[in-house]
Amino acid sequence: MIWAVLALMVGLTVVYMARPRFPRREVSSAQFFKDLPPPRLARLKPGLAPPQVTRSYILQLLVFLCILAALYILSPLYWGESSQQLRVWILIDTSAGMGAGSVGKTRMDLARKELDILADHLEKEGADWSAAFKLSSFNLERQDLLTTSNIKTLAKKGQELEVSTLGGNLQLVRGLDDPKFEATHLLVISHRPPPDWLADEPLPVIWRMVGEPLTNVGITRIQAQRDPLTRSVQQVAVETTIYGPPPSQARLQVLDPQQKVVLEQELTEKAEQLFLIDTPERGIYELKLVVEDAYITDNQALIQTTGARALSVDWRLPDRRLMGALGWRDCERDCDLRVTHQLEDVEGETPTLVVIEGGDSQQPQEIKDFAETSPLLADLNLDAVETAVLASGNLPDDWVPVLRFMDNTTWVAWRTEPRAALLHATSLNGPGVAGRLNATFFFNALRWLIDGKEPQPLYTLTSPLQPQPQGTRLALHQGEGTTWREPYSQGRVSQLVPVQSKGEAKPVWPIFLFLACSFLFLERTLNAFGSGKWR
Amino acid sequence: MKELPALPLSHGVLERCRIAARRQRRPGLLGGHQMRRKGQSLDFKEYRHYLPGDDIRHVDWRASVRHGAETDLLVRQFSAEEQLTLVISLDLRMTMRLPQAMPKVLIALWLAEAISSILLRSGDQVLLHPLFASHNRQVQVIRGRTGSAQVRRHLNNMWTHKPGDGLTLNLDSLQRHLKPTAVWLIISDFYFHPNDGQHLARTLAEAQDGYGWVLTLDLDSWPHERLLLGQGARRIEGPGSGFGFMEPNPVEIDGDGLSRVEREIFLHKEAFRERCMHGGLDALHWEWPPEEEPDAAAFFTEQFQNDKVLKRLFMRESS
Repeated sequence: MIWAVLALMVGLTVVYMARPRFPRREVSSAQFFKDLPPPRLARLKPGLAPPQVTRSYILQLLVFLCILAALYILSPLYWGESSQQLRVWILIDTSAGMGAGSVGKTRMDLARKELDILADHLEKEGADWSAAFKLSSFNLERQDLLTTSNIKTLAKKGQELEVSTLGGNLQLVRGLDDPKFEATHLLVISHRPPPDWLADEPLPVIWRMVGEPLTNVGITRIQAQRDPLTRSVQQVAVETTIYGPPPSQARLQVLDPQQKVVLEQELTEKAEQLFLIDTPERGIYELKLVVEDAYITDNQALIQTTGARALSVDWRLPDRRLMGALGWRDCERDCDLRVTHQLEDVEGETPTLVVIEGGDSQQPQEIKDFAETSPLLADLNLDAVETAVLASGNLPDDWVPVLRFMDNTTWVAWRTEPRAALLHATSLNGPGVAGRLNATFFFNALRWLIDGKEPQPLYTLTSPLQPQPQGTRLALHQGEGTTWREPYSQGRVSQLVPVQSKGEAKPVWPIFLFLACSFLFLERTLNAFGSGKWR
Repeated sequence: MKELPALPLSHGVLERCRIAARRQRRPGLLGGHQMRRKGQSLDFKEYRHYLPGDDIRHVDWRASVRHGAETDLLVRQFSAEEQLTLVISLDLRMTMRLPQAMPKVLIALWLAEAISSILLRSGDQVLLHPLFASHNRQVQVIRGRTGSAQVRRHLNNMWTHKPGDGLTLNLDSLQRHLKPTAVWLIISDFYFHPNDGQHLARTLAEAQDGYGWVLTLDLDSWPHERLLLGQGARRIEGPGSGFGFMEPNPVEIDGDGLSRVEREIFLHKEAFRERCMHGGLDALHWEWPPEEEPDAAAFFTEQFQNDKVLKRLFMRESS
């Protein structure tokens, strides 16, 4: 394409400038005619007409030479510039674990020192290199901070980096590609060891793991023991882990919402220990590890517990004996559950169990189909279903059958919006096999209906949107407190050397076009205002 | 390129011209183009006794000892050559190849052939010399009554070999042939560069010292070319009009412009003539007829037969 445009441009210029012709005379005295004036026509006719004076060989030659020169100069653009380039994408881990350290020197300080080493390396070796750097930080998300060719600017920006209270996601540095920067190397500085997938990376990666092995004792897991029906937290399991040699003294202290110590126990030398803490009260419990170690973020945690509580139920069945036996509280608004015998009561956000008296078939029925994966049929013996005399009825609109008999009547059904379960039965606690099947379905439905409502968590983790630990928002991200690891790096900063790279080919025909237009404009201007003598 | 066209003058015409001229003698001691008959570079004639004022270098010591009295010295006397040596310098530059209707070089070569033919039959010696050459070309020395064919061959060679650019003045090879008794005829349009003109003029002036006779023949094609140009916008082409590959600019040709060019040509030639005028020079001038298609043969014949100065070349020496 470019050659076609070039040829067309040159051709047009030559043809344009080659006109017109004058009568030619060959005489021996030609040398004496040089001082005669140009033709009157050329002197007196300014404008955009073709040149009247000469064939403009100088101009044509000039245009041609300029095009050749431009082609030569711009050939790196057209073919792609070939050069020795060092373009390093530096990714520094700013997760909470980078704050671990001893004697006032954190792993982030060591990361900054790596940048200084890079600066020294470039100063010694890279005087003639074309170097560029892109600095990014990463924790749970990646943040591109700076692109520069000045190593000092880079080091200065590195000094401003701060450790976050977030976890670290190494996948963020996997398969990186920035077409604008076109990195030749990746330099990752982290407190974690290089992952296995590093060998598959398209770019050469230097992974600098910073930090010496340090002892840390931390809370690594907090798990609530919930009541299966009420979802209330009555007990909390706390796991502590010791990384490295056990400290001389470490103990776990638990304070209840009234700041009374409900547990204080020394840690043994076991690496992982589990503590079960009763949390009968509703409120915030404080877990505290009293120890001197390298990483303090995982030494303390606040958790929110619900305490033991009864389920609040809007019970609309006439028979209230079952409710009384289960010890549930009566409720009319914002209840945990609604139990009714009318389909019209299924509304709002309260999960509802509808118990409808269906027609008795007087004899057991064969099952036509059933929802195999439905939790409503958990622990139900389907053979028993086919031997028992169960009530069944027609399926209401918007409901999904869970179990149907051969006569297309439904025994149980469900729906998700609003969340509700339907049971055809005369009573929930009747006698015989049918009564036990109904009771089993009742509790299955109860669990499913209540499970739909997410229980309040004990705590939340810090996130990029809420990075600061506050109250029950904790920075207990997995792996951040693993401080006892021998430093294992892959490659050294001094191994960074430029590579032969070929730049992107860019179109140059607009420049040629611009050149041609410029020459044409110049020639026309001179022809219009300066007559033909300029040639 | 075709051979040099045959000389439009027949052998008989040339012979008549020779015989007519031999009946006459060149002007005597008076006049600007006399021939010295006695001198240093002449042939030995006799001994005589030394007289005060004689050049001591002419004393023949051996003869004086052998034949002279004791205090008497014998001095050698010389006589001038009876044979005439004519050097014909031909300008063969590109300007001489024009105008195309009647190239100046054609007239020049015909003239050289005609003169050579007559002189060779008279027993004289002719030297053909290219005035400009790309290298130091030797002068062709031709003598004897049968030298006409040789002259024709050399002139034909000059005609067929078109000169290139970069010709320089070719005078070095000529110096040793320029005897004081020689006659030097330069045939040119005198459109050469002023530097070449100065050098040539200086050499011509020196040649006139010691009674040398120099003739310049100016082949002037301007009247014909003026007619050829006409009036209006023209691109004038020809030697010296452009620069390298560049084409010459077109110019406006009108009466004023032509007068300016004519005057410039005149001044150019006049400056040369004044520089080389040193007492022994005859400037001939052949002017092309103002015709679009002039007849070269007729023009040459008329000019040759009517040029009285040229006829002196064929006259006998004055005693």
